[in-house]
Amino acid sequence: MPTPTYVAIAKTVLTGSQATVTFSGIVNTYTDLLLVVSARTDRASWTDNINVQMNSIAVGSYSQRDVYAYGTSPLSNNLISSNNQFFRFYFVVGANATSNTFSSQEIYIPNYTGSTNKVFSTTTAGENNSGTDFAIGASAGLVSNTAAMSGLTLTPQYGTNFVSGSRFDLYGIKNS
Amino acid sequence: MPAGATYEPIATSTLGTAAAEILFSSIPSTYTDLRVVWTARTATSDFPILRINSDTGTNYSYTVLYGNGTTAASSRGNSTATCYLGIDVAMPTAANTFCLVTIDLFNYAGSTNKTFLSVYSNDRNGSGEVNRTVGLWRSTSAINALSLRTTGVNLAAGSTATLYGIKAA
Repeated sequence: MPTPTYVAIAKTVLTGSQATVTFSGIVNTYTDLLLVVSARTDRASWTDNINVQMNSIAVGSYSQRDVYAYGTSPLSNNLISSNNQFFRFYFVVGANATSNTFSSQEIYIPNYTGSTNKVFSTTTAGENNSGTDFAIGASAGLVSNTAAMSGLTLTPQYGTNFVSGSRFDLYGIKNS
Repeated sequence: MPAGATYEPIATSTLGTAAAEILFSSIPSTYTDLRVVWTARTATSDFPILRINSDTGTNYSYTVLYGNGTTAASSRGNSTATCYLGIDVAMPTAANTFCLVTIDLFNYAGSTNKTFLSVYSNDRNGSGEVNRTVGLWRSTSAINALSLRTTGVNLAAGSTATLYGIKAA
Protein backbone atom coordinates (compact mmCIF):
# COMPACT_ATOMS: atom_id res chain seq x y z
CA MET A 1 0.00 0.00 0.00
CA PRO A 2 1.59 3.31 -1.00
CA THR A 3 2.10 5.94 1.62
CA PRO A 4 -1.01 8.13 1.69
CA THR A 5 -0.23 11.39 -0.06
CA TYR A 6 -3.52 13.23 -0.09
CA VAL A 7 -5.14 12.85 3.31
CA ALA A 8 -8.27 14.27 4.86
CA ILE A 9 -7.13 15.86 8.14
CA ALA A 10 -10.33 17.38 9.43
CA LYS A 11 -13.79 18.43 8.41
CA THR A 12 -16.49 20.65 9.80
CA VAL A 13 -20.04 20.31 8.55
CA LEU A 14 -22.43 22.69 10.25
CA THR A 15 -25.78 21.43 11.50
CA GLY A 16 -26.70 24.88 12.80
CA SER A 17 -25.46 28.44 12.58
CA GLN A 18 -21.94 29.08 13.77
CA ALA A 19 -19.96 32.31 13.92
CA THR A 20 -16.48 30.88 13.54
CA VAL A 21 -14.92 27.75 12.12
CA THR A 22 -11.51 26.89 13.50
CA PHE A 23 -8.95 24.28 12.58
CA SER A 24 -6.44 24.20 15.40
CA GLY A 25 -3.52 21.94 16.20
CA ILE A 26 -2.90 21.21 12.54
CA VAL A 27 -0.24 18.53 12.46
CA ASN A 28 3.09 19.36 10.87
CA THR A 29 3.57 16.07 9.06
CA TYR A 30 2.45 17.20 5.64
CA THR A 31 4.10 19.38 3.00
CA ASP A 32 1.11 21.40 1.83
CA LEU A 33 -2.46 22.06 2.91
CA LEU A 34 -5.66 22.34 0.89
CA LEU A 35 -8.82 23.79 2.41
CA VAL A 36 -12.04 23.27 0.48
CA VAL A 37 -15.04 25.34 1.48
CA SER A 38 -18.68 25.14 0.46
CA ALA A 39 -20.42 27.70 2.62
CA ARG A 40 -23.20 30.22 3.05
CA THR A 41 -23.63 33.03 5.59
CA ASP A 42 -26.61 34.81 7.10
CA ARG A 43 -25.75 38.20 5.61
CA ALA A 44 -28.83 39.80 4.03
CA SER A 45 -27.26 39.90 0.61
CA TRP A 46 -26.55 37.39 -2.10
CA THR A 47 -22.86 37.42 -1.23
CA ASP A 48 -20.41 37.76 1.65
CA ASN A 49 -16.70 37.24 2.18
CA ILE A 50 -14.74 35.13 4.65
CA ASN A 51 -11.93 36.49 6.78
CA VAL A 52 -9.18 33.93 7.26
CA GLN A 53 -6.75 34.22 10.15
CA MET A 54 -3.66 32.04 10.38
CA ASN A 55 -2.55 30.93 13.85
CA SER A 56 -3.14 33.96 16.06
CA ILE A 57 -1.39 36.30 13.67
CA ALA A 58 -3.03 39.69 13.97
CA VAL A 59 -4.01 42.01 11.16
CA GLY A 60 -1.06 43.81 9.64
CA SER A 61 0.66 40.76 8.19
CA TYR A 62 -1.78 39.81 5.42
CA SER A 63 -1.73 40.94 1.80
CA GLN A 64 -3.26 39.68 -1.43
CA ARG A 65 -3.87 40.30 -5.15
CA ASP A 66 -7.23 39.42 -6.62
CA VAL A 67 -8.70 39.04 -10.06
CA TYR A 68 -12.43 38.49 -10.38
CA ALA A 69 -15.39 38.84 -12.70
CA TYR A 70 -19.15 39.21 -12.49
CA GLY A 71 -19.85 38.26 -16.07
CA THR A 72 -18.41 41.42 -17.57
CA SER A 73 -14.83 42.60 -17.96
CA PRO A 74 -12.58 41.25 -15.21
CA LEU A 75 -11.40 43.46 -12.38
CA SER A 76 -8.43 43.41 -10.05
CA ASN A 77 -8.04 44.45 -6.48
CA ASN A 78 -5.31 44.38 -3.88
CA LEU A 79 -5.08 44.44 -0.13
CA ILE A 80 -1.81 45.26 1.58
CA SER A 81 -0.76 44.68 5.16
CA SER A 82 -1.32 48.30 6.14
CA ASN A 83 -5.02 47.78 5.40
CA ASN A 84 -5.02 45.97 8.75
CA GLN A 85 -7.21 43.06 7.88
CA PHE A 86 -7.08 39.33 7.61
CA PHE A 87 -6.83 37.42 4.39
CA ARG A 88 -10.14 37.68 2.57
CA PHE A 89 -11.83 34.80 0.82
CA TYR A 90 -14.36 36.31 -1.60
CA PHE A 91 -17.79 35.28 -2.81
CA VAL A 92 -19.25 33.01 -0.22
CA VAL A 93 -23.00 33.23 -0.82
CA GLY A 94 -25.31 35.07 1.57
CA ALA A 95 -28.86 34.75 2.80
CA ASN A 96 -30.45 36.25 -0.31
CA ALA A 97 -28.90 33.72 -2.64
CA THR A 98 -31.03 30.96 -4.08
CA SER A 99 -31.91 28.56 -1.30
CA ASN A 100 -29.85 25.41 -0.97
CA THR A 101 -26.97 27.12 -2.77
CA PHE A 102 -23.46 27.22 -1.35
CA SER A 103 -20.17 28.64 -2.54
CA SER A 104 -17.24 26.75 -4.08
CA GLN A 105 -13.87 27.77 -2.73
CA GLU A 106 -10.43 26.40 -2.13
CA ILE A 107 -7.16 27.64 -0.74
CA TYR A 108 -3.79 25.94 -1.32
CA ILE A 109 -0.96 26.59 1.14
CA PRO A 110 2.45 25.14 0.26
CA ASN A 111 5.22 24.57 2.80
CA TYR A 112 2.96 25.54 5.68
CA THR A 113 5.44 24.39 8.32
CA GLY A 114 8.45 26.08 6.73
CA SER A 115 10.38 29.04 8.07
CA THR A 116 9.61 31.38 5.19
CA ASN A 117 6.69 33.72 4.73
CA LYS A 118 3.52 31.86 3.83
CA VAL A 119 2.19 32.11 0.30
CA PHE A 120 -1.08 30.70 -0.92
CA SER A 121 -3.55 30.70 -3.79
CA THR A 122 -7.30 30.66 -3.80
CA THR A 123 -10.04 30.05 -6.29
CA THR A 124 -13.56 31.04 -5.36
CA ALA A 125 -16.96 31.14 -6.97
CA GLY A 126 -20.52 32.00 -6.09
CA GLU A 127 -23.00 30.88 -8.72
CA ASN A 128 -26.61 31.63 -8.01
CA ASN A 129 -28.65 31.00 -11.17
CA SER A 130 -29.26 34.70 -11.37
CA GLY A 131 -28.85 37.27 -14.11
CA THR A 132 -26.99 39.61 -11.79
CA ASP A 133 -25.67 37.77 -8.79
CA PHE A 134 -22.71 35.55 -9.55
CA ALA A 135 -18.95 35.86 -9.39
CA ILE A 136 -15.69 34.04 -9.85
CA GLY A 137 -12.33 35.06 -8.51
CA ALA A 138 -8.76 34.07 -7.79
CA SER A 139 -6.28 35.42 -5.28
CA ALA A 140 -2.59 35.32 -4.54
CA GLY A 141 -1.94 35.75 -0.85
CA LEU A 142 0.99 36.35 1.45
CA VAL A 143 1.29 36.19 5.21
CA SER A 144 4.47 38.03 6.14
CA ASN A 145 5.23 35.75 9.03
CA THR A 146 7.73 32.91 9.17
CA ALA A 147 6.08 30.88 11.93
CA ALA A 148 4.84 27.41 11.11
CA MET A 149 1.15 27.41 10.45
CA SER A 150 -0.87 25.35 12.89
CA GLY A 151 -4.29 26.97 12.87
CA LEU A 152 -6.89 28.53 10.59
CA THR A 153 -9.88 30.55 11.75
CA LEU A 154 -12.67 31.52 9.38
CA THR A 155 -15.36 34.10 10.07
CA PRO A 156 -17.89 35.85 7.83
CA GLN A 157 -16.80 39.38 6.98
CA TYR A 158 -20.29 40.90 7.10
CA GLY A 159 -22.67 38.22 8.28
CA THR A 160 -22.85 36.98 11.83
CA ASN A 161 -22.80 33.26 11.15
CA PHE A 162 -22.12 30.51 8.69
CA VAL A 163 -25.38 28.65 8.26
CA SER A 164 -26.32 25.00 8.46
CA GLY A 165 -24.97 22.90 5.62
CA SER A 166 -21.75 24.88 5.30
CA ARG A 167 -18.82 22.54 4.91
CA PHE A 168 -15.10 22.99 5.48
CA ASP A 169 -12.64 20.21 4.57
CA LEU A 170 -8.93 20.35 5.31
CA TYR A 171 -6.51 18.06 3.46
CA GLY A 172 -2.81 17.42 3.96
CA ILE A 173 -0.57 16.65 1.00
CA LYS A 174 2.79 14.90 1.35
CA ASN A 175 5.56 15.16 -1.21
CA SER A 176 7.21 11.89 -0.26
CA MET B 1 -10.53 9.96 -3.04
CA PRO B 2 -8.62 6.84 -2.04
CA ALA B 3 -5.28 7.94 -0.68
CA GLY B 4 -1.96 7.02 -2.13
CA ALA B 5 -2.91 4.89 -5.09
CA THR B 6 -4.62 7.84 -6.77
CA TYR B 7 -2.35 10.78 -6.00
CA GLU B 8 1.31 9.94 -5.65
CA PRO B 9 4.49 11.97 -5.35
CA ILE B 10 6.88 11.08 -8.17
CA ALA B 11 9.79 13.36 -7.32
CA THR B 12 10.74 16.42 -5.30
CA SER B 13 13.61 18.81 -5.87
CA THR B 14 14.84 21.63 -3.64
CA LEU B 15 17.68 23.81 -4.87
CA GLY B 16 20.60 24.01 -2.47
CA THR B 17 22.22 26.63 -4.63
CA ALA B 18 20.93 28.83 -7.42
CA ALA B 19 20.31 26.97 -10.66
CA ALA B 20 18.80 27.59 -14.06
CA GLU B 21 16.02 25.07 -13.68
CA ILE B 22 14.31 22.41 -11.71
CA LEU B 23 14.13 19.45 -14.03
CA PHE B 24 11.95 16.38 -13.78
CA SER B 25 13.12 13.80 -16.29
CA SER B 26 12.27 10.19 -17.07
CA ILE B 27 8.71 10.78 -15.94
CA PRO B 28 6.93 7.42 -16.00
CA SER B 29 3.90 7.07 -18.23
CA THR B 30 1.88 5.12 -15.70
CA TYR B 31 -0.37 7.94 -14.50
CA THR B 32 -3.29 9.71 -16.12
CA ASP B 33 -2.42 13.29 -15.25
CA LEU B 34 0.45 15.19 -13.69
CA ARG B 35 0.46 17.95 -11.14
CA VAL B 36 3.39 20.22 -10.29
CA VAL B 37 3.57 22.32 -7.13
CA TRP B 38 6.43 24.81 -7.39
CA THR B 39 7.51 27.54 -4.98
CA ALA B 40 10.23 29.81 -6.26
CA ARG B 41 12.09 33.05 -6.05
CA THR B 42 14.89 34.60 -8.09
CA ALA B 43 17.82 36.91 -7.33
CA THR B 44 16.77 39.34 -10.05
CA SER B 45 13.39 39.87 -11.61
CA ASP B 46 12.18 37.34 -14.13
CA PHE B 47 9.12 35.33 -15.07
CA PRO B 48 8.37 31.63 -14.63
CA ILE B 49 8.15 29.49 -17.74
CA LEU B 50 7.57 25.82 -18.52
CA ARG B 51 9.57 23.77 -21.00
CA ILE B 52 8.38 20.30 -21.96
CA ASN B 53 10.62 17.49 -23.20
CA SER B 54 13.45 20.02 -23.76
CA ASP B 55 11.47 21.46 -26.66
CA THR B 56 12.70 24.97 -27.49
CA GLY B 57 10.72 25.18 -30.72
CA THR B 58 7.77 27.42 -31.34
CA ASN B 59 5.31 24.76 -30.27
CA TYR B 60 3.67 26.43 -27.30
CA SER B 61 0.65 28.66 -26.94
CA TYR B 62 -1.08 30.08 -23.92
CA THR B 63 -3.95 32.31 -22.84
CA VAL B 64 -3.76 34.02 -19.48
CA LEU B 65 -6.15 35.94 -17.24
CA TYR B 66 -4.29 38.05 -14.72
CA GLY B 67 -4.63 40.83 -12.18
CA ASN B 68 -1.88 42.91 -10.59
CA GLY B 69 -4.03 44.56 -7.97
CA THR B 70 -5.18 47.48 -10.07
CA THR B 71 -5.57 46.12 -13.59
CA ALA B 72 -7.21 42.93 -14.76
CA ALA B 73 -6.43 41.80 -18.27
CA SER B 74 -6.02 38.86 -20.56
CA SER B 75 -3.20 38.10 -22.91
CA ARG B 76 -2.02 35.29 -25.10
CA GLY B 77 0.85 33.99 -27.11
CA ASN B 78 0.79 31.51 -29.96
CA SER B 79 3.48 29.57 -31.77
CA THR B 80 5.94 30.72 -29.17
CA ALA B 81 9.03 29.05 -27.82
CA THR B 82 8.47 30.53 -24.38
CA CYS B 83 5.49 29.30 -22.45
CA TYR B 84 4.96 31.90 -19.75
CA LEU B 85 3.29 30.91 -16.49
CA GLY B 86 3.30 34.53 -15.26
CA ILE B 87 3.50 37.56 -17.47
CA ASP B 88 2.98 40.83 -15.65
CA VAL B 89 4.83 40.97 -12.33
CA ALA B 90 8.11 39.13 -11.91
CA MET B 91 8.85 36.46 -9.33
CA PRO B 92 9.78 37.62 -5.82
CA THR B 93 13.38 38.46 -5.04
CA ALA B 94 13.05 39.20 -1.33
CA ALA B 95 14.40 36.70 1.16
CA ASN B 96 11.84 34.38 2.70
CA THR B 97 9.23 35.17 0.08
CA PHE B 98 8.36 32.73 -2.68
CA CYS B 99 5.70 32.62 -5.34
CA LEU B 100 3.49 29.59 -5.84
CA VAL B 101 2.98 27.98 -9.24
CA THR B 102 0.82 24.92 -9.73
CA ILE B 103 0.48 23.19 -13.08
CA ASP B 104 -2.00 20.47 -13.99
CA LEU B 105 -1.11 18.55 -17.15
CA PHE B 106 -3.80 16.35 -18.57
CA ASN B 107 -3.43 13.04 -20.41
CA TYR B 108 0.30 13.69 -20.53
CA ALA B 109 1.15 10.26 -21.91
CA GLY B 110 -1.51 10.28 -24.61
CA SER B 111 -1.08 10.72 -28.34
CA THR B 112 -2.84 14.06 -28.65
CA ASN B 113 -1.48 17.57 -28.17
CA LYS B 114 -0.95 18.38 -24.50
CA THR B 115 -2.98 20.90 -22.54
CA PHE B 116 -2.36 22.25 -19.08
CA LEU B 117 -3.73 24.70 -16.54
CA SER B 118 -1.48 26.86 -14.42
CA VAL B 119 -1.97 28.97 -11.30
CA TYR B 120 0.56 31.69 -10.51
CA SER B 121 0.26 33.35 -7.10
CA ASN B 122 2.77 36.09 -6.42
CA ASP B 123 1.82 38.61 -3.75
CA ARG B 124 4.64 40.75 -2.38
CA ASN B 125 2.72 43.02 -0.03
CA GLY B 126 2.50 46.04 -2.29
CA SER B 127 2.97 44.49 -5.69
CA GLY B 128 2.34 41.17 -7.31
CA GLU B 129 0.16 39.21 -9.62
CA VAL B 130 -2.45 36.49 -9.63
CA ASN B 131 -3.17 34.59 -12.79
CA ARG B 132 -4.69 31.57 -14.40
CA THR B 133 -3.19 30.23 -17.61
CA VAL B 134 -4.30 27.61 -20.07
CA GLY B 135 -1.45 26.27 -22.16
CA LEU B 136 -1.01 24.03 -25.16
CA TRP B 137 2.06 22.13 -26.26
CA ARG B 138 1.54 21.09 -29.84
CA SER B 139 3.11 17.68 -29.71
CA THR B 140 1.62 14.24 -29.70
CA SER B 141 4.63 12.82 -27.89
CA ALA B 142 4.24 11.63 -24.33
CA ILE B 143 5.58 14.08 -21.79
CA ASN B 144 8.65 12.63 -20.14
CA ALA B 145 10.44 15.75 -18.91
CA LEU B 146 9.40 19.07 -17.39
CA SER B 147 11.74 21.99 -16.89
CA LEU B 148 10.67 24.73 -14.49
CA ARG B 149 12.72 27.83 -15.18
CA THR B 150 12.70 31.53 -15.97
CA THR B 151 13.34 33.33 -19.21
CA GLY B 152 16.96 33.94 -18.28
CA VAL B 153 18.00 34.11 -14.64
CA ASN B 154 18.63 31.44 -12.08
CA LEU B 155 16.12 30.18 -9.58
CA ALA B 156 17.29 31.01 -6.08
CA ALA B 157 18.32 28.48 -3.48
CA GLY B 158 15.34 27.18 -1.59
CA SER B 159 13.13 27.00 -4.66
CA THR B 160 11.25 23.71 -4.48
CA ALA B 161 9.07 21.67 -6.77
CA THR B 162 7.18 18.43 -6.41
CA LEU B 163 5.79 16.36 -9.23
CA TYR B 164 2.70 14.28 -8.48
CA GLY B 165 1.08 11.61 -10.59
CA ILE B 166 -2.67 11.23 -10.58
CA LYS B 167 -4.37 8.02 -11.66
CA ALA B 168 -7.86 7.77 -12.95
CA ALA B 169 -9.95 4.79 -11.99
